[in-house]
Amino acid sequence: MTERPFRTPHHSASVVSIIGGGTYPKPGEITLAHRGVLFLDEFPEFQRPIVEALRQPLEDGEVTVARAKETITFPARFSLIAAQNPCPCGNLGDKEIECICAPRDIMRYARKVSGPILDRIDITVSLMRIPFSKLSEENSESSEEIRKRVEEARAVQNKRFDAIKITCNAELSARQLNNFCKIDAQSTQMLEAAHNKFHLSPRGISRILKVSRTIADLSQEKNIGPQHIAEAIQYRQKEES
Amino acid sequence: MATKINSLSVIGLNVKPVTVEMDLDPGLHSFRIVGLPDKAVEESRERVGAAIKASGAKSPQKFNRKIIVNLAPADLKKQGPAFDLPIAIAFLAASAQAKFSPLEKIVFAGELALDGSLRSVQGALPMALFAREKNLTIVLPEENKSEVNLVKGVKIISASSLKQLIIKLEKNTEAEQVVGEGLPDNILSTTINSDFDIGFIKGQEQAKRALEIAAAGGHHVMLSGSPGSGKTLLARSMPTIMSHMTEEETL
Repeated sequence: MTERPFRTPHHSASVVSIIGGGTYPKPGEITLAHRGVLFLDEFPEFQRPIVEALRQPLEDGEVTVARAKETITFPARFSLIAAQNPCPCGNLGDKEIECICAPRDIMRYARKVSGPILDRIDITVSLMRIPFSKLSEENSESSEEIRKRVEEARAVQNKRFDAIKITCNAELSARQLNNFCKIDAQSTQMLEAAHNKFHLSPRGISRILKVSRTIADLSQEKNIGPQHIAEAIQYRQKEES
Repeated sequence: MATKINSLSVIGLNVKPVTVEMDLDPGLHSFRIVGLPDKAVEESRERVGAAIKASGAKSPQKFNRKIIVNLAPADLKKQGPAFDLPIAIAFLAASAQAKFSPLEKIVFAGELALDGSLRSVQGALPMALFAREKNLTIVLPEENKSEVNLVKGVKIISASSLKQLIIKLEKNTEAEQVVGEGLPDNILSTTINSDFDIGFIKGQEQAKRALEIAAAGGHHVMLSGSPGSGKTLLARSMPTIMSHMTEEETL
């Protein structure tokens, strides 16, 4: 019961099943994933309207379903994990296998997930094929160890946000951000440089701040330092000029 | 004088108070429910009638009276069978067939079976949260008890049949109620068993770190990579690194 929900709808899902709806609105997958994880595998394969409908919940943590008979606001404070291939054949960016997609196809694939959605995603990582030598290595850190750190970081957040009725960094509003994510001069400088280089949106900046707050929490540090900002910037989806 | 019984309407997760008003007028027999009832609420007349008969009292159908049930506020659409119980209680009180202790601080919800037993209702948890907030006692079918028991501090009266409930309500209601216990302690410390331990995934340290951050701060993540690079496996192991929810978050 206290396990966080983990929802993995298939990409053939309908808009109503994900967002919620019906004559008397019923909650959808995003509400069922409240306070847990919504995992959308093969993200670009989802219907366009679904991907775009995620905008409001990704930002506000709730979704307002309006129907003629009833307008209902469902909670939807989930953490989205989206997975996708870099291109239709999947090998773009690989050092050894050549990508066989036409540039047009790559563009069409990339366009399936719109900018506003990407802008709302805090952390983007590229996964490369793992060399064989790595496969035979020892197991790395176990889930248990990582979870311990996560629990500790959550505890720090719960304590900090006790008075304002939120539970994690992702929920911080703009004003709360100013209170809880103060950064020093060096970090500001770094953030400014990143802003200029990667044309970050104001939302991008605030999301970097939230992520860096979490990174600092994970290492049990009270203040956000330049190293935390740097790591957060590195995870940001970037358009290089 | 009309009899008033409190009930609750749950739409989505929003709970609204509904007052069930019952009036018995001299006149030709009729039994009507007004106040925007849906089909399930309309049909409640038949269930209530049979259930009251099964409990040993005289059913509304046997009364040569004009019976009107009003579900207030009248502009809110009422749906579902949870109004069976408040309607039955209102009738028993209005027809003076039972002498209840004061019922003002009590809310009712429950579906009736034809034999007078109580069936579980949907949305008991939000109802219980509402009742706790407004400091009301909630009357529910026995089947819903374990669910509302998770709400710490809420006052509950549960019964498995209408007859049993009538007996409870005729006595001192304070003595009959139990207080919600909240989450059992052991539930918070259960470990997660999963085949997907993140330690078994080789390499991809950056992605693991990203998931760790996301789990800690509730952030959104995009994993982009070639087929078979471990995206799905990584995401599947996500539950094993997530913290447990606090009591507040669970409800």
